[in-house]
Amino acid sequence: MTEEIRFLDPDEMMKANQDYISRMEREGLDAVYDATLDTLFIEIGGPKEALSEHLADNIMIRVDPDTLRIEGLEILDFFEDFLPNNRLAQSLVQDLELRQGQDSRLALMEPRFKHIREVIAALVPSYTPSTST
Amino acid sequence: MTDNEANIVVGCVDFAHRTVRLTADVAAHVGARHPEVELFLPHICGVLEARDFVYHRLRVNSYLLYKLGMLTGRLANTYMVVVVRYNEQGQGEVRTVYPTTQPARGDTLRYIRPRRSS
Repeated sequence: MTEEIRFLDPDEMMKANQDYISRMEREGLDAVYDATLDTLFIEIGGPKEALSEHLADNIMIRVDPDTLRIEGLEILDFFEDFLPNNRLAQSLVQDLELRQGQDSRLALMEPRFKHIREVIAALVPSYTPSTST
Repeated sequence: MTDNEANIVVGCVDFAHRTVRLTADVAAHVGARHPEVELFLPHICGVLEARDFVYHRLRVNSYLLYKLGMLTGRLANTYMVVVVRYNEQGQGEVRTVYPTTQPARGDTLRYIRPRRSS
């Protein structure tokens, strides 16, 4: 018997995430750079169990498998590959004061990170699940 | 046992008979940020031995191995993805592990498991 692959319904996802900006405000939004994994995690309310679905380039979106709520983003191979190939992101990283090889955690709800929150808020709705693999 | 060996949480031989290891350091970091896969890290060998798909991420020379049927509960019916980098000697190191419903766009498909004829 062939196991069926779970399908993330785009309409259901849209419904489940209408409140994501207020969730960010309520639960908090953190940027965690993990130097061991060379991955930047953007987490709404801390790390949670989630699926990692490809958004664009090195960016994955973290989706709760039951509620379809978006729990954050992660950017893989951050210093090694993402930044050298995404110059627009370089100024954002300077604002976050990230350093290669150095773990870092920042609370993005601080007023000085408003422009970064706006970028994240714009990225999240751009996710559309594919209808086939 | 060397310090290096003691640091290995999972050691496997992949589909091409190459050794692949998951270090304690990487396992701890994956578990911290991806709590959903922590319980499934011992299943990494199953993915490496019998993958359904292999994609190659050319820019960083990582191989992404996908397998259905390894994850259960809330993650049932999703792929377990193990990202591996091989060194010049052909030894692999697990870089990260995550569950997903579909392969990432933009990677190069290197292998797909043949479908069984009925």
